[in-house]
Amino acid sequence: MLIALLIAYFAGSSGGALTSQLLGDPAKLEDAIHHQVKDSGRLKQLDALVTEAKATDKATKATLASAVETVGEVAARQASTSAELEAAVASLMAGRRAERERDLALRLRLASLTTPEEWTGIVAEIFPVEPQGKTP
Amino acid sequence: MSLRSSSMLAGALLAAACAHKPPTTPLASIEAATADARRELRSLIGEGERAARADAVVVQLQELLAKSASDGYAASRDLQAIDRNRDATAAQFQALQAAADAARLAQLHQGVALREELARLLTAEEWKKSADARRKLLELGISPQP
Repeated sequence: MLIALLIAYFAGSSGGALTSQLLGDPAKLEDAIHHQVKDSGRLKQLDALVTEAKATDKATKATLASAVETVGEVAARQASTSAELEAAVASLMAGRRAERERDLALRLRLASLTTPEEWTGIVAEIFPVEPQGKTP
Repeated sequence: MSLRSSSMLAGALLAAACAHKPPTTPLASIEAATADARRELRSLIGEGERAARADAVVVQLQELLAKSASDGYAASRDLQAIDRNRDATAAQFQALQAAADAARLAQLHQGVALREELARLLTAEEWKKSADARRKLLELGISPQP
């Protein structure tokens, strides 16, 4: 359990994606878009955006899974040096930063392709309740 | 995927790793997992000064994990508030991400130092036994997810 605790810390210490949560579940986003957007021209562009988000999500998960595994291996090896561990975490963080940049570009395009009313509807479907409290 | 954060990752792993009734929140998971780790340490090392020092390190690690989970949750919550705004700018997202990264980096150095101290305090045999316990968790399909 001690080693699992260490791994949980270091794998998590690179942070969650901290990226747009609207894109967190592309299938859910796709449903929300189809419920809210009726204009066929923009719907086509939004569908292309969701397709891109799905492909990005899949590729990112594979890359990050490999980086998380490496962090776990380094943290679990007693002889690992601090420099090795920091390098493994830095690599994972770099992967997460790249994910953020891709997601941010998609998120801004998504906003630009929707009207304020459509946006409100999409957000309400994806975030039905605002997060409360200061602790997880 | 809602409120993605380090707390989710750590919480999911730790909740799954706890042998007893699964805790209901990330912070409860961290507390339960730390209690398990302290029990494991006592069974591996027993009593004495070395055991006390290792135990103190695990308690510090628990504090670090809890802080990381709380900070991650707060950042994720703040990010969702920005995300809800159709007119939010790239700069708003990036400012929040940069602040969260800086806080994480500061904590990471503390975590690395704690791990190094544990690696020094435990014998190779004790470390191996704990690592073997971790491998058993992985064999059951319990592993950290990105």
